[in-house]
Amino acid sequence: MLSGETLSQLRAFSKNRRVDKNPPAPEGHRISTSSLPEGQFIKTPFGKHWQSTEPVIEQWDRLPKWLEKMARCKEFLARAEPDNRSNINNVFQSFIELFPDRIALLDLETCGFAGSVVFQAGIMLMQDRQLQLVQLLATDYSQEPSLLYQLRKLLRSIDVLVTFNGKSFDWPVIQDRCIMHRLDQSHPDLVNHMPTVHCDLLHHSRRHWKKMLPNCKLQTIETYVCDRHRAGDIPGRDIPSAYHNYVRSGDAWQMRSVLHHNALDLITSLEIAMKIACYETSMIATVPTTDRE
Amino acid sequence: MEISALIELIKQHPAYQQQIMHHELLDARDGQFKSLESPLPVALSQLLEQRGIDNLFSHQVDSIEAVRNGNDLVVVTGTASGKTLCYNIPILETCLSDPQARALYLYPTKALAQDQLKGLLQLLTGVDDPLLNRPLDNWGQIPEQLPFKPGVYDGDTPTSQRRRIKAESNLVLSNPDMLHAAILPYHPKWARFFSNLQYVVLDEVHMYRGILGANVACVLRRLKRVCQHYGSNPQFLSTSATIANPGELVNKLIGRAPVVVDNDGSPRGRKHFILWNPSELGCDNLARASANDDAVWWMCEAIEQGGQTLAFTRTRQAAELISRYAQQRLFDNQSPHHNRICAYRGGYLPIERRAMEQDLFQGRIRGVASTNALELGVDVGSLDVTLLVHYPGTIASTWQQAGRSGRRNDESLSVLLAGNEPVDQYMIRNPEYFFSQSPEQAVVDPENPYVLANHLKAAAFELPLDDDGLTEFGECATPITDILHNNHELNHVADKYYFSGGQNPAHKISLRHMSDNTFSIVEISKDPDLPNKVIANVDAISAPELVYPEAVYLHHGETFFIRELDLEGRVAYAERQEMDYYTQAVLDSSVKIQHELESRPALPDTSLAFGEVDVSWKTISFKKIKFSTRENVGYGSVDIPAQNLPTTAFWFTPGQAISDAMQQASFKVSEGLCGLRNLVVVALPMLAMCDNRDISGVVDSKNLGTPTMIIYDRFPGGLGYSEQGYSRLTDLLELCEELVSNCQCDDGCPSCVGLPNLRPAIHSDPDLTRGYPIPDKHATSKLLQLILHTEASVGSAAEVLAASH
Repeated sequence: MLSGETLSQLRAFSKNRRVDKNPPAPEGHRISTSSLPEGQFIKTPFGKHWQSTEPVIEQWDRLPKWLEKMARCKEFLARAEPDNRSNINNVFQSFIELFPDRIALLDLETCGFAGSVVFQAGIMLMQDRQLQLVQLLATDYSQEPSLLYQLRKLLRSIDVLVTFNGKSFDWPVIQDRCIMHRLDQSHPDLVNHMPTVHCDLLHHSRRHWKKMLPNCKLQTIETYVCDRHRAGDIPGRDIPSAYHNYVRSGDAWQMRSVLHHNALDLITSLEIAMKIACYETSMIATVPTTDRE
Repeated sequence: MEISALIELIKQHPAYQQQIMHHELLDARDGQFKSLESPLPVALSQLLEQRGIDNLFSHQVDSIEAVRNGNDLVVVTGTASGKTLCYNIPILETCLSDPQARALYLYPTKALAQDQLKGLLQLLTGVDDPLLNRPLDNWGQIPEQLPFKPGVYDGDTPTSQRRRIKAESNLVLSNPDMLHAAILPYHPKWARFFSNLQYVVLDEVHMYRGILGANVACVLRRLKRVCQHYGSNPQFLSTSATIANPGELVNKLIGRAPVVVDNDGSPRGRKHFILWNPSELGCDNLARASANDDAVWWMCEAIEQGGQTLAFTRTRQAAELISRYAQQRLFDNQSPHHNRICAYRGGYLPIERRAMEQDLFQGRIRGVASTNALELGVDVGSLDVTLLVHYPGTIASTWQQAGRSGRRNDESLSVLLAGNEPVDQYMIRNPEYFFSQSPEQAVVDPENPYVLANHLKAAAFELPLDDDGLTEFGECATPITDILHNNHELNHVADKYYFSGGQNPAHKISLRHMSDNTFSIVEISKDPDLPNKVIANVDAISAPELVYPEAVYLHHGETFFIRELDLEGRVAYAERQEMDYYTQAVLDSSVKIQHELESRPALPDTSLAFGEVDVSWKTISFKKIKFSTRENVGYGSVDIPAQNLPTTAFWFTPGQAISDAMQQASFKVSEGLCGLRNLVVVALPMLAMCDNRDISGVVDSKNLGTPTMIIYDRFPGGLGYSEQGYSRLTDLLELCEELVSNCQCDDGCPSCVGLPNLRPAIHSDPDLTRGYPIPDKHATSKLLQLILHTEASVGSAAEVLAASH
């Protein structure tokens, strides 16, 4: 439905409809990025978008400890008997084997449900031999194609994509938005570069914690399993309007919260993935195969 | 069947008292065949031969050639003239040569889409009874070499089948509402479909007028934009019932001029058309016998003579009553046909409706009493007799309903049974008028600002709107987009407008007058171990009028006692009980002026204002009516909340001098205003580009203490129709004056002051409602003259005054 103000202006317009004078179209908005965190505009064949890159360790100091654990898992898995290996969920076999070079974690922020704009994407992946958090932002709606292009390009060398609820949300949304902007038809770079394995942590979390937790939302797991707590986080439902305000006003203060929110979601996803990987490896390390059948 | 024998039989009947006022014979017509410039593909002509179609009628050939030449099309031919093939043949032909080609069929109702799917499957599989409840299984029955995969995609399509229909189906049957809310906003999921979309079928396009039409026009512009995005540019193929301006209507809807094919080449048997006036009831010569009773009489005689008969009623209750009485009468006559009669109307469960259509088509059912639910193209075959119980309200509907009877090679009969309404009586007394009147214009305004504003938001959600996109929506689009932008409903970035909200805005925009909310009618199980069962549905607007507590609800001619109406849960609980009465709701309705937004001195000695009003109606009590005798056997009160329509209106009040002048001429202002109100309902749609069902009006003194005409939009919040009346009052009144002075009648007729302005009472038994008299035409003429030419009258009054001093 239309807002009250819109209705009364429409009324004024409608009454004088036969005398229509088109008022000149207003100038476009100037987008200021002054208060976005450090980053830069990236040019692509589809325009430009804003992007920042930061080592994950800067935001999460427990990373080195976990990387060691993952290295041990990988070593163990490499030595395990084929029969025994098969007791690990095969998505996680791939995850452990290809960690960290050929995996990426992904989380999108959009303006709502299906069909709405993807304005921010966070990706965690190896760059310059360390795990980096790359955040892409469309500083207005017209930058979405460029953002999607860059996202797909970053994922080209990736085999395992890790998301939280990405099978039913993030991934189909990316596909729909790419079709909508007709990216595949217009750029050869993008054809046939898709990750082969999609590890959706929502399903695996349910497998492990469904009976122990009140629900399997990301933040619930973050609180109970990862034992971390958010303060001053922007609630997910406020994100779309924060973005529209930002595009309209150019004032990026809320975008900082959104980017932070996105970073936290990715760190928690990473921790969940590594926790499940280590747990599943430890199960075959301690329990003989025969008992599990 | 022998129509003349049936008429003779009625005339011989002891109850016959010259009720036949007029007997018109419409001549038989031979079939006109034609051949195509290049023949159809063999596979297609084999499919047609399998259904017994060896030759094509001239209108079919003209249509096919027009489509082959890349034109848009509207076919305007009679019922059962093979209209469907006019669009199906070229579509199937294209699909045969290009298996990637896609077609989208839009039907105004879900029931029609189901019916047309059945027709398509019969053609493609050669099977008479395709499995409609498992649509995808049918694909297996279509011969492998034929690349056809038809599927219905609407609100009832199971989620499990949606993905496959999106990806694989090349003939998708749906409705405009679904396209608007569930297909266009998610177009990337349909990318392949839109890339290859070659045809869009708009069936029964005459339905898309007024509010629905304005909305559909916008939805089609959105569709064209999405197609363009994916590189396709489909042709629009439409069909229409007989209206005055099919080509113009389609042009307005799709934004391009179509080829109009109206040379009906199908053969027609001779048709008898009888105007029947039920006999007068003795003492009070205004009251007449019931048209329902006479319809039962006609139906039973016709069925006994072997004719299949369809009675059209104006209300659901009347459909139930006629079927019940006809069953009873045939049972009493020990006729074998007594259990082969049914009622058909909206509200029955879809599966029951499908079964009845099938039974009707195959002749197992001999008589049906139906509401206008059967007026649209659901294929029930051609019947022998149609009974129009009361005048259907428009000339177009009359011919549409009458067209339901008509065999290709045999005679058929239609009978119009007049009710007590003045319009009915006028029609029956003036057969020349009735038979020569041209059908109504269908009016649509694709640029209605309120409708357009909503659709521009939806369009921006689908694809950012640029200047080219705006052009598609017409001249008003740019200023309206500015308004939306100023109010942050759209954002403007890099020369394009973007929707600035998260949710698909189409979900909150209804294309039709009333919401889709429905109530379920649930039969309380007598066995506590068995669950209650849903027996029917009713829309939320009608529920309080039909299934209030203690109502007797009629269903398949049987009586159900309503125990409880749960307004929150949207359920009415009914108990099957044999009752000897039914109930009739007593309604109270009112229009209250809430808030004046504006007023202006339009004409001397009148006042005119525009503002917000609240239209409300509620069931306050009910009467218990004994079956057959129609005795009133009791009352009950009903305590349920009123229903409201908050909308906009203009109100117009003649001043004291006019009132005095009317009195001097011995007319009442209120009667003049009533006639004027009826004229405005006809005239305003011409200025405001709406349908006359989109507006309504009352004359009352309650609001302002003096007789006032209030004209309002029948849509929540208003759509600018009454607003046009406000800003163009003089134009409007001059048009009214022209209408009334050009009318040839003596005292008033349905063409001028008499067209009744009813809220369609879709439930009650019309036998029990009173018609309003046609207002005196002279009162209205005098009133208009006083209003529009006051200078003269004031001048003469001044002279009179001067002379007397």
